[in-house]
Amino acid sequence: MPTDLIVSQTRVRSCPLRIGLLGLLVLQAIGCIKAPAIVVEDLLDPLTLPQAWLPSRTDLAAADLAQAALISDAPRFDGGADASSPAASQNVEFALERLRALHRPKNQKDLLPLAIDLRNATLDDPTAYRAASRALLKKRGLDPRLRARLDRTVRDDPLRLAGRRQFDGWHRLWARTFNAVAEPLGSSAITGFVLAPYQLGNSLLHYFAEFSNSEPLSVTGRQALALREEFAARQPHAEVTAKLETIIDRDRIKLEKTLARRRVRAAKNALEANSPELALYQATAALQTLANHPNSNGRLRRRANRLAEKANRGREEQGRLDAGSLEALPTPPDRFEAELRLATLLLADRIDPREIATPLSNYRSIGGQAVATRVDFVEAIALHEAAFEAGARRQLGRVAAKSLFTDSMSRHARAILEDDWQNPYGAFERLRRKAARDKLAWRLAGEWVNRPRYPNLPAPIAYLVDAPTIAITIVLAPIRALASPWTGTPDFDRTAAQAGYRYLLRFPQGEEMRPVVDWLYEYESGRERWGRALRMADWIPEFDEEKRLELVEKTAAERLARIDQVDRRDTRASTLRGIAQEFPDSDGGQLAGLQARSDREEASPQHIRITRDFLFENPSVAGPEGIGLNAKLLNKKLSDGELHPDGVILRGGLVLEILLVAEGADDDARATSRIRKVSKERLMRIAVSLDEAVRRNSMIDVDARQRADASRDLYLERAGLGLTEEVDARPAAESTFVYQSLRERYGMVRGRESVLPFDLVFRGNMGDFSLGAFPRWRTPKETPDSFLYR
Amino acid sequence: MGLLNRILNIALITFGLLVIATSLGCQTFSSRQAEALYGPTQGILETVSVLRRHVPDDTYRFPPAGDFGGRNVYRASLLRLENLERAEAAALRSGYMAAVLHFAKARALERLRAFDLAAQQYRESARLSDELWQPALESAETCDRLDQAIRVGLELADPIAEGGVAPLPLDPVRVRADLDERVTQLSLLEREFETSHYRWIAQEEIERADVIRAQYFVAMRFILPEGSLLALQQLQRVATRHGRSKNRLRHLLRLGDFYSTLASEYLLALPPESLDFDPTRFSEIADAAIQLYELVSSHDGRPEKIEAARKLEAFLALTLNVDADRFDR
Repeated sequence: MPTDLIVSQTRVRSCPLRIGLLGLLVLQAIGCIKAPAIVVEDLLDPLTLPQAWLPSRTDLAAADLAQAALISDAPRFDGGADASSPAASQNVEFALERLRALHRPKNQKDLLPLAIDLRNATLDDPTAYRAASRALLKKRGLDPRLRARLDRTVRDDPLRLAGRRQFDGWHRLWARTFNAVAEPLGSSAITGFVLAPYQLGNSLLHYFAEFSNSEPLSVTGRQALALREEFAARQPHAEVTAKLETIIDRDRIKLEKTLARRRVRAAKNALEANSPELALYQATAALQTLANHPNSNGRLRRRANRLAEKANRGREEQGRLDAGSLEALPTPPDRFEAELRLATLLLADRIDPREIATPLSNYRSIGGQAVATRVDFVEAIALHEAAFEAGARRQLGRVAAKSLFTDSMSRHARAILEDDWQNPYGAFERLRRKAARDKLAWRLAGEWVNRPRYPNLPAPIAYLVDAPTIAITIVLAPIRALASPWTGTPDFDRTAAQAGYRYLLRFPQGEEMRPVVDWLYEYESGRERWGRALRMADWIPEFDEEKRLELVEKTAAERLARIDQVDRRDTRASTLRGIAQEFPDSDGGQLAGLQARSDREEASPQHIRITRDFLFENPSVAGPEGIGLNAKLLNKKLSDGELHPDGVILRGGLVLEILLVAEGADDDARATSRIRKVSKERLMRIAVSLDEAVRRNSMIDVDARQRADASRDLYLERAGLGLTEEVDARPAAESTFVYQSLRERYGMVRGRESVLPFDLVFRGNMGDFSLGAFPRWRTPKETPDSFLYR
Repeated sequence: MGLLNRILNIALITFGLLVIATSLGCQTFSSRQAEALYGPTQGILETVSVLRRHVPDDTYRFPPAGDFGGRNVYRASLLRLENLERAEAAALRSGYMAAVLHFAKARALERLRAFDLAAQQYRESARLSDELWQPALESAETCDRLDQAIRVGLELADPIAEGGVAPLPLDPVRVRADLDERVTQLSLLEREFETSHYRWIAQEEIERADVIRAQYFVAMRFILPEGSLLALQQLQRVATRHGRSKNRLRHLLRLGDFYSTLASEYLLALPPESLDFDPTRFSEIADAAIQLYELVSSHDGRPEKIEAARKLEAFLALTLNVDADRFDR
C-alpha cells in the first residue's frame, strides 16, 4: 500500500512537472531560433552638418604657445647653479604658464602635456630635450600616442643605445652560459642525473666550441661603435667625447680584425678551391683593411701576407701553365702528310663517317698506337655530326679515359664531356648520380652532410665535437625516413632536371630523349608541378589519354589557384584568358572563363575594402564622421539587417559598395551587394577618418601599421581633396588593399611576451631517450637595423 | 728493452720516410698531371679537330664552348694556330700546310667577329689548296657580306678610348634606318644559310644590332623627347625579340638595370621625403626593377643569377631611404 500510494503520489506530481519541463524546452527552443536575416535599404545615415566651432581660451593660449615656440630664439642658459643647462625662452615659458593657469575642460586633458612637450622641444639640445621628456614621462594619464613618442625620444640617445647594445652582447653571453648548464641538467633529471655528467660535458664542449664562431667585434659591438662614432661626430666638444675616442679606437681595431679575418678565411677557402686569383684578391683586401693600424693585429697581418704570397705563386704557376697550353709542337714528319690530309678533309665540308674511314685508317697505319686517340676523336666528331650523339659520347668517353701522359687528345675529350652545355646528357646522368648520393647522405646524416657546426675549427676537431650528435642522427635515420613524407625532403634532383631540360633543348630529337622525358615526367609529377608534367607527357606519344586529361585538369586548377595572388586586373584577365584558351575542355578552363567574365563585369577603378571587424575596431570610420553607416547594420542582429564580414568596398570615383548579409542567410554565406553613389563630402569624410584611424593606431601599436600602397594613398588623397571627377581607370592605378582588424591580421590573440627572462621548456629526446624540463634564458632580440652591421 | 726500442725507432723512422716519400711522390704526380693537362698542342690535327668539333655549334642559343683551360674555344684555337705557324715555320715556307692553317684560322676568326680577317684567310687558303678552294671562297664571300653588313650604321665605341669617344649622331631616324638596313642584310644571310653555322653568326649579329640600337636610345635619352620611354621600349624590344638567345638573361638584366637607374634618378631628383615624390610612379619603376632582378636571379646555373641577386639586394637597400608608408618593400 504505501508503495502504491507513493507511486500514485508521484504520478500526480509528475504531470505538471513534465508539462512545465516541456514548456521550458519549447520556450528555450523559441529563444534559440534567431529571427531570419533581412536586408535593409536604409544603409547610410544622412550627413550631419558641421558644427560651428569657436576657440576657447585654452585653445587661444595653446595657439599663443605654438606661436612663441615657432619663433623662439636659440636656447638661453640659466644663470643658476648649472650655467651650462639650456632653458626655454621667456616667451615660451610665459605662454606655457598662462595655459597652465587656465581651467581646461575635460576633453582637453591632453593639452597640458602636449604644451609641456612643445616647450621642451624649444630647448634645441637633444640631451636637454631627452632629460625633459624623461621628466614628462613620469606624469600619469598621458595619451598613449604622446607616451609612445616620448619613449622613442628618450630611447634615441646614441650613448644610451650604445650601452644597451653592448649590454645585449653581454646578455647574450650570459644566456648562452646559463643555457649551457641548465639545459643538460634539466634534460637529465628524469634519469636521476645519471646522464648529467655526459650531457653537461657535451654541452660545455659545444659552449666552448661555439666561441670559434664568434668574431672579435660582434654585431652588437659594431652597432655600439657606430652609435658612439655618431655621438662623437655630433658633439665633438662634449666632455665625454675624449673618453669615447679611446673606446672608439679600440673597437675600430677590433672591427678591422673582424673584417680582415673574414677576408683571410675567404682567401684560404679560395686557395683550397684552386682559385689563386680570388685568394690573392681576398688576401690583399685583408691587408688593406689592416693598414690603418700598422701596430695592431700583427698575427693576422702575417697570415694574410703568407696567403697573398702563396696565392701569387699559384697565380704565376697557373699563368705559366695557361701560356704553355697555347704553345704548339710541330707535327712529326712521318705523320705530316696524313695529318694534313685529314685536317683538310675535316675543314672542307661536313664529315661523312664513310668518306673519312679510309683516310683515318691510313693515318692509323702510319701513326700506329700513338695516334689512336686522335682517330677516335675524329670518329666521335663524325658520329656527332651524323646525329649519333650517344655514339659520339661513348667514343669521347673512350678517348677521355686515356692517360693524359700518353695522349693529349684526352684532355679535349674530357673538356667536352664535362661541359654541361656540350654534353647535357652526361651532365644529366652525372647530376642524377650526385643527387642520389646526396639524398642517401642526407637521409643518413641529415644536415651534417653539408658542414659541421663549427666551420672555423679544424675539420677533424669540428666533427669530433659533433660526433655524438652525428651518431644519433645516423641511428635515427630510419625514423626520419618514415616521417619524411610529412617533414619534406629537399629537392636534390633540381640540377639534374635542369640538365635534362638542357638536353631536350639542345637535342630535341636526341637518342636519349625518351629516358630523359620519362624521368622528367616522373620528377615533375612527384613535385606536383602539373603544367611541366603535362609538357613532358606531350612528348610521350603513347601517353594514356585519361591520364593526360587528368593532368590537364590539374594544370588548369594549379594555374587557377595562382590567380588569387595576382592583384592587377589586366594581368588576371590575361592569365584567365590564357587558361581558358589553353584548356578549353577542362573544368578549370571553364571556371577560368567564367571567372574572367565575372572579373570583367565586376571590374571597377578601385577595390579598396574595409572589413566589418575593422569598422568595429574603429567606430569613427563607420560613424557619422566617416562612412555614416546605419547603426543597425553593425548591431550584430541579423533581424534588422547586418553588414557582411567583408564590409564595405570603395569602388573608385564616388561609388561605394556595401556588402550585406543576404536575406535568410548568415555571415558565412555570400554577401548581398548594394551600390551607392555617395556625395563628395561623404567620401572626403571616409578618406579622412580612415587616414586618421590608421595613423592613430599606428602611433599606439606598431603592429597596427598598414603596409604601403601607393595607389590606395593616391585615391584616398584625391578623395580627401574632393578630386573624384576624373576616374583613373588604368589597371596600374587600382588598389586592392583591405583594411583589416588586428584580429583578422594576426589571428585570435597576439602572442604576448612573458615577464620572466626565460622560457620553461619541456623536452623529450628520442636520441638518448631523455625527458626533462629546464628554463631557457631568452637572448635579447636583434634590432631591426642589425642586418646593416653584418 | 733496448732492442725493442731500437726496433721501434727503426719502424718509426721507416714509416716517417715512407710518408714523406709518398707525399713527395704524390706532389710530383699531381704536378706532372697538371703539366700534362696544360702541355703544348701536338701537331695540327689536334687543333683542327678540336676547332672542327665546335664549328657547327649554335652559339646564338647556347654559350660558346670552352677548352680544357676554360678559355673560349675559338680564341684558344686561334692562338694555338698562330703558335703552330711558328712551330711549323719550315712547312709554311714551303707552302705545304698553309692552306689548312689559313682555313682553320678563318673558321676561328669568324666566330670572334673578325669577318674581314676571316675573309682574307679564306682567300689565302683558296689560293693555296684545290680541295679547300670552293668552301674557302664561299666562306670568304659570306664573311665579306657579314663584314659589309656590320659596317652599316652605328657601332658601339670603346668608351675609354684614348682619343675620346666620337659624339653620337643626333638623328635617331637615321640611326634606326641604318640599323634596320643592317638587320635586313643579316636576315637575308640568315635565311640563305639555314643549314650552316653562318645562320647562328647572322643571328648573333642581328642581336648585336638590336642591342646597339637600344644602347643608342639609352645614351640619348636626355636629348631626345620622351627619351626614357624610347630607351625603355628599345630595351624591352631586345628582351622580347631575343628570348631564345644565350644572352636573354643579360638583356633582362639590362632592362632591370635601366629601371633601377630610373628609380635612382627619380630619388635623386625628387627626394623621397619631399612633397613632389609620387609613391605611385616610384612604385611602378621600382616594382619592375625588382621583378626583373627576381626573375633573373631565379635561373640556376648562370652567372647572371649571382649578378641579379646582388643587384636586387643593392636596389632594395636603395629603397630603404623611402619611408615605409610610401613604398612597400
